[in-house]
Amino acid sequence: MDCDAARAACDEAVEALVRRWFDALSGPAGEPSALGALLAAGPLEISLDGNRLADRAALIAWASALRDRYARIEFELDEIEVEPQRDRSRRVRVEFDRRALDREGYTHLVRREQTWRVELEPGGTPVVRGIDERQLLPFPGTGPGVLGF
Amino acid sequence: MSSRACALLAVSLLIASAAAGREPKSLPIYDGVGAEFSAPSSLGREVRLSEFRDKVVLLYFGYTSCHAVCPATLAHLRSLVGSLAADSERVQVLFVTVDPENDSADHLREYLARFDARFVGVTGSREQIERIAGSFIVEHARSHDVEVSNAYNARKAAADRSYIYTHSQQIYLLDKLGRTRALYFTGSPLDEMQEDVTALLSE
Repeated sequence: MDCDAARAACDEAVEALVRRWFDALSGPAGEPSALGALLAAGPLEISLDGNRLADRAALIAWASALRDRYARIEFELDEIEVEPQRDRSRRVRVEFDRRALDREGYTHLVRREQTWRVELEPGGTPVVRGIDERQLLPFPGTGPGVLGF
Repeated sequence: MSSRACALLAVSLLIASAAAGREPKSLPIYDGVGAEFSAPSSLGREVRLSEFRDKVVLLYFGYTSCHAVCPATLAHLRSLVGSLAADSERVQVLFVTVDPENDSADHLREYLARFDARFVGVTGSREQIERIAGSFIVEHARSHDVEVSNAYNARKAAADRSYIYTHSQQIYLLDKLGRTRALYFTGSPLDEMQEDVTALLSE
């Protein structure tokens, strides 16, 4: 796929990549090893849950531990914004809620914003090079909470 | 009323109570919101969040010369604590100032006593406050572009002129392990807050 000529199609492929990523992290049905096929070759620049994950093995180990920690884990994606960069890569901003049920029956909520660096392989296939994230309060659309004075 | 009729009435009330959802609800845990801290307080000593581990904590960020939302929120919290009767002794309100340059421990004690002398104020260095606010994902910013005139402005000796802070206004409900379990605003219904506090006290 020529991503210069078919930008919309490429951006849709990037969005699909993001959705496949979170499907793989979901549990119990998700399969963390599926993340491997979504990664760029070479060193990674991924920071998740305070862990720096520099290669495929580290990422899959983290994802497996996350899935195993909970009886159920699911992600609700609120926003996926894909922004082309000058070097043909894509910058992706995704905001999501993570809901997880632990073994004691407690629900854990996390809301985060992630910024992804997605590279396009010669055939146009998107792959993940890097991810950074920051914690948000679990109020959709309000960021750090309503301001007052 | 016969004993059979009494039994039927009791069963009906139980069914109605269950249908109304009055069972204690399990509140979610907001992972990554809040962390242990230690800072000077209106008690005249350093307090640690973990020293309230046997209590349910309601935590709020504000400042004493705040005009609008802070006094309203503290009054709201006073009403909530007052509605808890004996359980109020197992609840702790913490007020963390975002204006530590002017809100000393003594001033916080005097200010909070107007609402409830059991409320504890937290102050410290700017760095301490930034660290606490950051862990609770609180935003705050000082503005010099607003005319402010109330009695407390006289206390702003460190300020070069009047200012206000804009700041996040959510109230955090922490369980006995210090985990954030609910978030509210000034107008959150007291009965819902009371129900949540009671549920955490029973855990």
